[in-house]
Amino acid sequence: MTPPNNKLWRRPDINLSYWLALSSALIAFSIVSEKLLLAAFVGLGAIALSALSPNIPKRLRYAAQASFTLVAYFAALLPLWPEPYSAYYYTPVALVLGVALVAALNHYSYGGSRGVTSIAAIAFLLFIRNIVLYFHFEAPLEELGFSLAFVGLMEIALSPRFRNSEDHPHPELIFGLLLALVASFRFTSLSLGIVLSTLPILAFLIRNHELAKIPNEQVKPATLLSPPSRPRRKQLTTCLLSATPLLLAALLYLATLQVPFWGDFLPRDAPYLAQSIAQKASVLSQASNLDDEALSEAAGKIVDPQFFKQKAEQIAQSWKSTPREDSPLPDERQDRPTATEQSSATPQRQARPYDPDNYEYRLGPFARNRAGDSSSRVPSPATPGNIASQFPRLSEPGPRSESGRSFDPSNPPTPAGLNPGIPDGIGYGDALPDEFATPDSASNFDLASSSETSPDPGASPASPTEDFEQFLDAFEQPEKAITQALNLEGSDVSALLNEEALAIVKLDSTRAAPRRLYLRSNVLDTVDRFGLGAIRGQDGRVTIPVDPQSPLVLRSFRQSKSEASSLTITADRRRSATLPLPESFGRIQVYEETTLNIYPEERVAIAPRSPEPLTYRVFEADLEVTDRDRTKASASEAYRQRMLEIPLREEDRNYLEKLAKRVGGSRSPTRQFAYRFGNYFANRHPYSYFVDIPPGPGHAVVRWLENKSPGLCSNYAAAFVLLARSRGIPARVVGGFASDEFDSKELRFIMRQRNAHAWVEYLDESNQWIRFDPTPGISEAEIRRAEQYVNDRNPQSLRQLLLSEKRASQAVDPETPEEDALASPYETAPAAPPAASTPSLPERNAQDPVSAPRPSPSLVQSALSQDAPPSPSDSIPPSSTKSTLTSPKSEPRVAPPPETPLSQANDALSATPPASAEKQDPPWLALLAILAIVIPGIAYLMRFKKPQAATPELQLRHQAGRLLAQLDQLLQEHELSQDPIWIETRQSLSQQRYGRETSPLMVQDLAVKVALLAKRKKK
Amino acid sequence: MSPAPAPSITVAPEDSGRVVLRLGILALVAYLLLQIDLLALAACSLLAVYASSSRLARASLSGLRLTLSTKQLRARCGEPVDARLYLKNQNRILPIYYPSVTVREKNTRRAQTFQFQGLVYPQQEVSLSIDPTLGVRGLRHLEALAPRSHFPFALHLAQSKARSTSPEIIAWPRPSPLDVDSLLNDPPRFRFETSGEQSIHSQTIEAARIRDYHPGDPKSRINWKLSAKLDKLTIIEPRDERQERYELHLETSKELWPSELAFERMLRLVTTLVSELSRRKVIQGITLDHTHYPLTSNRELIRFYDALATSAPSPRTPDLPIPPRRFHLWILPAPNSQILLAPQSAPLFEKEASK
Repeated sequence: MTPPNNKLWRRPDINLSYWLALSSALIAFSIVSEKLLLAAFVGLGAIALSALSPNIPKRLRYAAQASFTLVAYFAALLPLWPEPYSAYYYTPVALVLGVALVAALNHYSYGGSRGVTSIAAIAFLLFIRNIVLYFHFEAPLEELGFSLAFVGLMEIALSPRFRNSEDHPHPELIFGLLLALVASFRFTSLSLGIVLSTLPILAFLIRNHELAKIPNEQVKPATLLSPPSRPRRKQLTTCLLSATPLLLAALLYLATLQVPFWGDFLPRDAPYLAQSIAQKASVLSQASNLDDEALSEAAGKIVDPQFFKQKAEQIAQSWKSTPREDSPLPDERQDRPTATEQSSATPQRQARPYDPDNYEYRLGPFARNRAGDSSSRVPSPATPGNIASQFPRLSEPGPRSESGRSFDPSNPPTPAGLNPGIPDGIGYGDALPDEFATPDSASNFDLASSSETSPDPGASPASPTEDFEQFLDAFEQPEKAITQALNLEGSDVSALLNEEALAIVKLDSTRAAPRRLYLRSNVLDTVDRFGLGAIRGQDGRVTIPVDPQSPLVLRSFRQSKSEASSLTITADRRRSATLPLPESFGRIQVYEETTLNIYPEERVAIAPRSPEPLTYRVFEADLEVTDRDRTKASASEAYRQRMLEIPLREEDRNYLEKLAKRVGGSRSPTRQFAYRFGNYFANRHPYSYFVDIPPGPGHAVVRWLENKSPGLCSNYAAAFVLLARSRGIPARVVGGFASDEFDSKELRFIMRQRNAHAWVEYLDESNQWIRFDPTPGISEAEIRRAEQYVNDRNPQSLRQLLLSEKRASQAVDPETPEEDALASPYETAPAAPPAASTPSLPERNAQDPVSAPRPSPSLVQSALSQDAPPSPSDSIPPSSTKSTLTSPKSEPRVAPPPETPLSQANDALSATPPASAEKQDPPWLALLAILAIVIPGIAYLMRFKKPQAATPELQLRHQAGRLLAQLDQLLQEHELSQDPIWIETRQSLSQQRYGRETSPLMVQDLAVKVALLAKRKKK
Repeated sequence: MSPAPAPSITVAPEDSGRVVLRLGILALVAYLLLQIDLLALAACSLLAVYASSSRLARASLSGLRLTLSTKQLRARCGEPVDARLYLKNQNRILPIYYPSVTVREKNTRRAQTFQFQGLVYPQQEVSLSIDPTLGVRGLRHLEALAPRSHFPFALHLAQSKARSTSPEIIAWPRPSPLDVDSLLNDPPRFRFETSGEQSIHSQTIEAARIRDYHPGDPKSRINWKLSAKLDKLTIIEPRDERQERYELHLETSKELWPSELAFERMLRLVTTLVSELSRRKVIQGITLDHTHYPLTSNRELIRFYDALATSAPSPRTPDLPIPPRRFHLWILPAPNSQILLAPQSAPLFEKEASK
């Protein structure tokens, strides 16, 4: 007998099925959680647990498994609770420890009961967290997805089914498919989806096969008599066995692809529950899309989709008597083009009658429907004075693209957020020289365009008319005002998503790069009828002369005690006069300009408008001011009072007060107030580019809050400011740019029109202006919906900004070698899809490292490569670049069919956060292939044939054989071959050796006899 | 030669198969409601695996032909019988995975299952050795039926209706333990305590037994020399246990063995008794219902066991008592369903007992 093995470890015995299930679970969990370390820990821990020797005491094994489970659950669940963990007397730690204990002490997982218990405990934990911290009583769906994935991974890793067990319930299949389902919301690759869904099934089937090989104790083996012959046609057998289910699965899948969505056939008067379920289902479906056009086409050819559609329509018609022509439901399916929406939206808009009750909040004939697209706008015909002729022409419908947007090269719409409310002829200070007036720039009444950086005032001054007087009445200081306002009622979506570069920010080092860079342009602190606006007049303005050679110290702009970095900002001045500036800086050096107007109270700087961009360098800038570094503000009392004004109607004020008290809490600290409203907005008002506030008597913000309308950043910011003010927190809207698109190679942020953003600054208890962004993340469905609107109307803007920056840096320091040649960084850069930086999911914001973005879209790259001659990379004389600028624009750039830049931009934006996440994340399919195919293949090729331990019966027979040989020898020695007794002994021994059954007692007796004979002395 | 007609196949889902089917249906319904693509993939895979598994199981097992044969003519109850099972796969492409076959006694239906731990490749025949046991004595046929297989992933159990019958096997009754020494109402005879020296002298007078001549003894045994000296016919019998062997008598009348159970038990006990006595070489022969079976050689023993296995309680009355003879014993029923060896036959015994 071999001595018992005292070792703790042995070589882990891992089946192929366990390996497949574990690898697919690990990859799926890594996709969901993006925590490769945790996944690796769980995987290695499970393998280590299986390497424990079976001889160790049971308690030790249970202790090892329990401690591993405890540590894993702790590591996974504690980050779900926001820091600090010591808040609430270490309750989060205690709760997470409780959940981990529940999972660790639950040894037996019959039917997956341990997994279900863990999921319930985690759901309870998250619910408690939401109630206590965030004060909203809704399900934590994203974190629940993560916890489902984690519990599934743990169940598969610790499952006893893959060891020697015949446990019949099969939780591993369900957990594996659940993991794949949760992970499928994070990627769009169909092949990865196929592999992730089939691997758990394959593991299950293989394990089933192995378990079914072992007969139960009632079944006896039938031994093979003839030697097994070589199988013929083995490959064909294997092919048929694997091909039949695959073929069948492929056919079924092609059939299911053609099944239409039931929500499309809902009748109009279906109950609200059905409609809301259809909406939620379509959102889910879009979020989990694994599309493949080739496959869809093939499916369309093979399986007849008309059959399904006919059947579905018949069923739908049976619900309703009269068949309908079109569905007016806000259908968000991808195959339903949004042209339907637009075409159905437009006639609705035009059909809306003129409502005199809304005159108070509208501008009469100028009350344009800001949410409609510009194509539907017609220059107003016969009004007194023929205003249309006075003002520059409104946007003409350009070449219509397939989605019905209008592309107007002569009238580029301004970015989102603000209504360019500047009347014509109103500059700041002195009247602008005519050379800055471009006749084809947008009129101020182009309300289709809305941006924070207000549009150009360069239109030719027109004679005011009575309506114009009415418009001017809205302002206190019309002659000196630069008014900017927030547009709350939505705008042209293509204007919101314009890719035109408005500012570029160059950092000195990557270390200073924040995750998301906020640049403040303007502060909007005055509540008016339309929303929030700003009036920049003579009050509070300080005019400072500026020397391009030496930096200017601006104490009022210093908000942070730390001096982090220096930036060079180049801003476009055609649309707005305000300069985008970081949160806190000490000194500024402005090139090519002599005076600067600043408003120290609001920390806004204004430079005169010009078609050339302005470059300025900012020193001692802190881009992410933390609480510790923030300095106290010196807000005057009058300003504080102004920040608390809510000049609205009584009903609106009461409503705001009630809402603020209810959601934010009447005595909660300001930060908690902010967080609560952040979550309130996130849950109640989804982010959408298609804002439509229903008309009504109240203020636009109040109407927006009352209906659960979707909103833009300006909506959230305005709503938060009003609510904060009604609770007594001075707050103001800050408009500017926010972008997380950082080019780590060039150390540059590019602020585009779609990066134009509005957030909030509120004054907290310690008299500091705290920046708070109430805008929730954009959902995937919305990203996809908005993809079509991304466009680039002014491709030259980025080039201009870069040129200006180069000029400025050369002007300061002509000897510095050209670090960034204009053409080289963008010519040599690979044509990779850019990482879109539209407001992404909250977790992504929380967890994304500083992304390594791609350079500008290939559009600009092709333009630059075509335009700039292959010049040496060291120096490009500015004159030549200027000449190339003014040289006739190469045809392929501007005059290509709108599809090309749009499709390129579409391609650019189609590589949305899923793709960008895929680019940053490791290639999951390749990793999965390596794990699931390559490693088992290597193990199979290197398989070690361990010597099979003989069964006890066989060992007995061998012993009997040895005794037989010994007996033969002894009989020959002692000459007892003829002795009948010994003959009988030998016969019984040979029967033990070769006979049907062996008996250990018999063999033992015979062994004793043989030993006695061996002891006998020879005669 | 035409292939045998294909027997009918039944395919039943196992637990795993039901799990897969339910998951597939659930995923399909969820996909139809929510249109989540991965659910479509999972549903299609699961349903396709289920459907293909059942089709393949049916197709593969339809080509299985079964033959059972045994060359062993007799076996003891409870002891394994050496039988052969021939499985032929008539499919062209599909193998048969791990088929298992049930083997049972034809009339009594005691079943045992044997599994071949391997694959039967197409157009291949495998011969397997199995050892079924017989439970009941008599002339038995073994029957192999219901070959079935979990096709590779054990989602379905496919069962075929093929069957095959073996030739006849005589099943001897199983010997049950019996204390023979107590039966024989004589103390056990230890003839020679020594190692056997005196057995050499068994032919001499010192080791002999002298007795009178009884009519019926063979006349050649008469020792004329001694008879002349004693003036009576005398026989010297050497102390040869070989001569002192018992003759047993067994009646299988229903009056002696009223119930089936008693009869079976009697048979078992008689088997033990006969085997033990023949091992000790103290039995000469046995008379079973007027049929005498000598039991000197192994072959005769086998013949007797065969007769014993196929015997049945007979309705006839037991014979009239024969006058007791030396070394003739009758096997009679005893209380507690035991047997008793008596020097006289039954009726006398009964009369004595009733007295």
